[in-house]
Amino acid sequence: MLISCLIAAAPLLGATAAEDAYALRASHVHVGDGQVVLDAFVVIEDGAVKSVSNNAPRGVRVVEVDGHIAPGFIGLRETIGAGGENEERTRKSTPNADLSFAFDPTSPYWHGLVAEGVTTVLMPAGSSQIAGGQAAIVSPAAGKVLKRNAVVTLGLSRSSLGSSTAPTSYAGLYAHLGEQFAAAPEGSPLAAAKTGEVPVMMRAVTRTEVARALDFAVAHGLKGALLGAPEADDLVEEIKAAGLSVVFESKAAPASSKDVVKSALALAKAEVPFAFTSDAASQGPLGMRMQAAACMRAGLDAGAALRAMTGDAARIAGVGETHGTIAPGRAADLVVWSGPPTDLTSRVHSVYAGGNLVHSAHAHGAHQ
Amino acid sequence: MRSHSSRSNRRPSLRRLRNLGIALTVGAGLAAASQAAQDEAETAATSDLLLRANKVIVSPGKSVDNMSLLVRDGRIVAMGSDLAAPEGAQTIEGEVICAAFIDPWSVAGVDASSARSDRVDTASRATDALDPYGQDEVLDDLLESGVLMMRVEIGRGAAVSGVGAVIRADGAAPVLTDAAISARLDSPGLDPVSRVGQVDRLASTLGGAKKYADDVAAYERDLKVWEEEIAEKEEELTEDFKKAKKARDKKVKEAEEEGEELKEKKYKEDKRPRPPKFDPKKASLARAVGGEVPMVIHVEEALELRELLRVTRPFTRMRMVIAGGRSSLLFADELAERGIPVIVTPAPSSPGGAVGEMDPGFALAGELASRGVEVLIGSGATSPVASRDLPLLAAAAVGHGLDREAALHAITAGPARVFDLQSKVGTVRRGLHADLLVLSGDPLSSSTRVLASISGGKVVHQAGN
Amino acid sequence: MLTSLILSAAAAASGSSVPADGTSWTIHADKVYTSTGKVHESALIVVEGGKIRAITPGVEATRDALHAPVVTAGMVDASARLNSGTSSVEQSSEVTPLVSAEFGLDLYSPGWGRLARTGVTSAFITPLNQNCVGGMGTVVKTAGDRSIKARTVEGAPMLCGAIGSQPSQRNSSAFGRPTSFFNRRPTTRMGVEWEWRKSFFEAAQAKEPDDAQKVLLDALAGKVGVFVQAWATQDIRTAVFLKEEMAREGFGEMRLVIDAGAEAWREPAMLVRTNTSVILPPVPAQGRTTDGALMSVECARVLRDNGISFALSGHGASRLDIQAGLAMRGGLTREQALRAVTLTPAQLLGVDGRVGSVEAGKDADLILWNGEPFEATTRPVGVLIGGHLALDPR
Repeated sequence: MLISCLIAAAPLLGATAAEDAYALRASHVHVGDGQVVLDAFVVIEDGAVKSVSNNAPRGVRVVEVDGHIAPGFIGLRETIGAGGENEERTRKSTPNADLSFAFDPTSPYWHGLVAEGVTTVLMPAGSSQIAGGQAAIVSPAAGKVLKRNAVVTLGLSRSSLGSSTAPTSYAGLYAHLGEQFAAAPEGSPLAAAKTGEVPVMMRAVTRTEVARALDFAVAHGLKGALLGAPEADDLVEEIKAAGLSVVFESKAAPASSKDVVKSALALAKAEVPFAFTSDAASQGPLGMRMQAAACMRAGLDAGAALRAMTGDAARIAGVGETHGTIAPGRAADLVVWSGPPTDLTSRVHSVYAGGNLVHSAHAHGAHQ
Repeated sequence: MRSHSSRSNRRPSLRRLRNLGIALTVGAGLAAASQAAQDEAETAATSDLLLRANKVIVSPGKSVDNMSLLVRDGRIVAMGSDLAAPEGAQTIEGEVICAAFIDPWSVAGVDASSARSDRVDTASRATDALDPYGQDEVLDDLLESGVLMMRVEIGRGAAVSGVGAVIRADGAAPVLTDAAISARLDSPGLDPVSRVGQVDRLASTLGGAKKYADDVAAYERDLKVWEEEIAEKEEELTEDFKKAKKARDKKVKEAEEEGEELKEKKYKEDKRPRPPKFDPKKASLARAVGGEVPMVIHVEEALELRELLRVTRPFTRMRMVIAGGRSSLLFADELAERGIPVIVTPAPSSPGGAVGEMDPGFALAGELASRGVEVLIGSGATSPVASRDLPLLAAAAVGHGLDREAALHAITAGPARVFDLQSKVGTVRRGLHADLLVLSGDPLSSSTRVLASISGGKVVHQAGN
Repeated sequence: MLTSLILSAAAAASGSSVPADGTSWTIHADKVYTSTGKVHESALIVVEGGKIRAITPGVEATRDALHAPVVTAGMVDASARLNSGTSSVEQSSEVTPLVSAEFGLDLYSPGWGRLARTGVTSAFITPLNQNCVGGMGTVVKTAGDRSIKARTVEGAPMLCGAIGSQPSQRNSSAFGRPTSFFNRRPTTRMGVEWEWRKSFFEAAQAKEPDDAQKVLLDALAGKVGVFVQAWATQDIRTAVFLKEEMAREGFGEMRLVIDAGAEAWREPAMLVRTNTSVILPPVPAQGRTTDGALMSVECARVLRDNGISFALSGHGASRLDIQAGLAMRGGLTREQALRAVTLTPAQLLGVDGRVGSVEAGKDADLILWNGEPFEATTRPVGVLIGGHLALDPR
């Protein structure tokens, strides 16, 4: 009893060994799939969630947290910590590139991201490439790569066309991409994408680009998500038929300045999974939450809004089995909020990654 | 918060300045006439409306449970817990009723090229640049999100731009045609000497306007004195007329008898005082210097803000408002003491921006409020559609330390008070105009939906339609 | 008489119930210009499932028939130029026969609606003419389902390109340090022709022609039409002489169509002897078109008088019916002008099996006019494309 009080009163920063199990108790636990468990205990052991229940666990120290627990956000398009290293400008296709090499764990920008609740990040290629390589899943708080070659990123929008580099036309782009896929040797990333082993993220912005991307995906048996697609509401049936999800870019992203609220609502209605991106270079996690709040004020329910930043986002990144929800077996990446996580008036109290407390608002002062 | 000196002891000069404005400035004269017309148009006849909610937020921090409001002819005519709906009245029910949101720094409803023009001067009017048709999609979005009124300004490219207006999102209709005059001190990339130079130029422009107003006031005083003297002299002459005529007739007779010419005594009167040459720009700016309309100055960086505060100290009557104010924390005490409100425009972006590492970001609102500065939240006059997210900005500010009541004040009663509309909008009271929102929950909560928007007594949006 | 009575009864019966899918209609017109030379008076057209089922002249209007004073076939714009701009042409090489104009289509562009509402029901789209040989063009219906497959009309394959100053415009000298692929030939008109000739020769002499060269060989043999933009006389000559040269070399007989042949009227003899067809561009406002070509409203008449097969085009900027009216002012009869915007372009593009005239069995692409077509006071008041109403006359 005394030990648990002391530990609760003096949270430790930085990586500490999380072998010993402990439990967090909060008034609301947002699982990340739409459910909210009231007055629950989340038991954490070895960096993973062991259980979520209303019954007090025995034999583990309990930390009372004042607020709502939610899964850490999945940042689906973070380029800020890459320092520009994720964009290969001399060639349009580098399908075998492993983008985990662009990850700089010492970048000062990661800290701000973690402080706003982002625990897992997908680092994709820049938007100017056609086959930019394979995105990696990294944990900015722990400073390590969680999964290499997680998602194949493809650029099928106008930004992938050059004005003085080949290809300059959509016809050239699709001819080029078709050749790459046809010539991909077995075991290579593009071949793995064709068999559906590795999901793809295809950037397409205008409706025509999205329609073509869908045709291409269906023709080659690709699974995964469209990136961009702000006018997805005009193509909901086609997206659903192709079995793809949609990842909306941040409002400030140049070509995607069209408002995604209508599209998000249409996709939610058609039960097509979608996600928002944090993209700290342009809007940051707060911008992502504002995008979600704008959708909520137009009718999207809170559970779906949270899912778009946690559970569904993790599934699109291919790590739905291990991240994105608070459930037994998943990584203990949690954020303690002062109120509902989707409400903009809530603030981050503390952030846990892999079971370790990696950020606490009190220690850093009011400015966070 | 209203710590600037009361206006009662300034009233005589204020009245004179206002008379001056009407007499001399054609534009202002038109404005006064159109303002009266606006007043009538605002409260045009509409069908009755009965609004009912479990909680009515009368003003930030003050709410009443289980209340109904009766809206007639554009105004709230009755408030009570058991009002009956009159014949033919439409009834709308919700969880919460509050005053509609007002964006104190917006370009929604204004034609884009006028908004960013650099060819405006202090006599240009924002009401000449309204564009309800070209911006109808943006305005519809605003009606749905609950931002029903905006203070708009034009001429983002000019150092001192024209007279702004407060307009309703519904049809971009003006509510107050002369809301404020704006200036900006935010040219990036200049060296410090040039930056201070900007402030000095603004100060001398203000000084020029003040001198013009003083000259005009002096002219009027002198004219009055001269007219009084003339009247006195005329009275004298009329009284002495008979006597003088007799004396003159006698002199004429004497002259005739003596055979000499009569030397007439010439009467000389003082010349009529000449008015100063009419300058519409100075006359317009003089209204801000004299405190008749607020003066909004867009300034972000510390150097300009410090200089600005220093050079504007002599203009005691001017009602200054700082817009942007990213570095205003450094001067919070002076701002609080002089009663200068700050319109913050938080934007979700990576830290840095105009003031680099010192940018407090969304926490600015909370920090300023805790130091006693009146905080308003605006969308920043860059993009018309940004006004739609005003309630989200306020909510995010709460998430970064701003008091909930202060946040609601920052987007309702605050803008109304600062821009002289507190007797019309901004709070929910009997007699005020009916600019209200019927919500499904707390106004700042992200899951709240706007069930109905009422603008000037008219239902301009209803969820589910 | 009896047959027409039975037919009219059947027509009336079928016309009184309009199925819900919106592709079946009955249309009554005081006059139907079929574009084949036949004109039907007081005719009833039955449209079913998107096709013209029957045309019955000399019949009264039924109660729920759409009515118009005149009905013609939907217009076919042989050079509509509604592509996605620079992203429709692959400029990394000057000769790209394999690029399809399909990839340069943006079916969400508002230009399609404009074309449809002004009576253009089919449009031929090519890649943007920045390359010498840009790629394969495609005929697209201007309204309907927003999928490229649904809107494309299979026709004769056409290899599109340009001869003149346009293809060399962005290129600059290849000497010194090349900084982009635009540092290449051709930089002059001679160079443009050189590119054409070079690609034809290399294709003809290749031991194992690749896919691109196979297309060029088909073009030489006349299996694939060659659709070349050539505004000025010198460029039209270049194209025609190139065709004759290829024939002399024994490579085959090309099927040549000159697009935007504004100065085709100057030397009609060479067009006649080589059986070359011409697509006329919109009449320029100040007398001269791009490349300084001189053109007036009389050009169409000159081509007609010389027996050259020609069609009119709008280039996406000018209304095709206005161009037809101007050609009439230049001397064409109404029938000839109508043919030049309907059946002739359909024949040149090889889609006359489906569109181009009002005949039973063809697609229901029809225009309902409020008077004699191409008059200044007349405009389309109703447009059907594939049986769907693109412009509602009701």
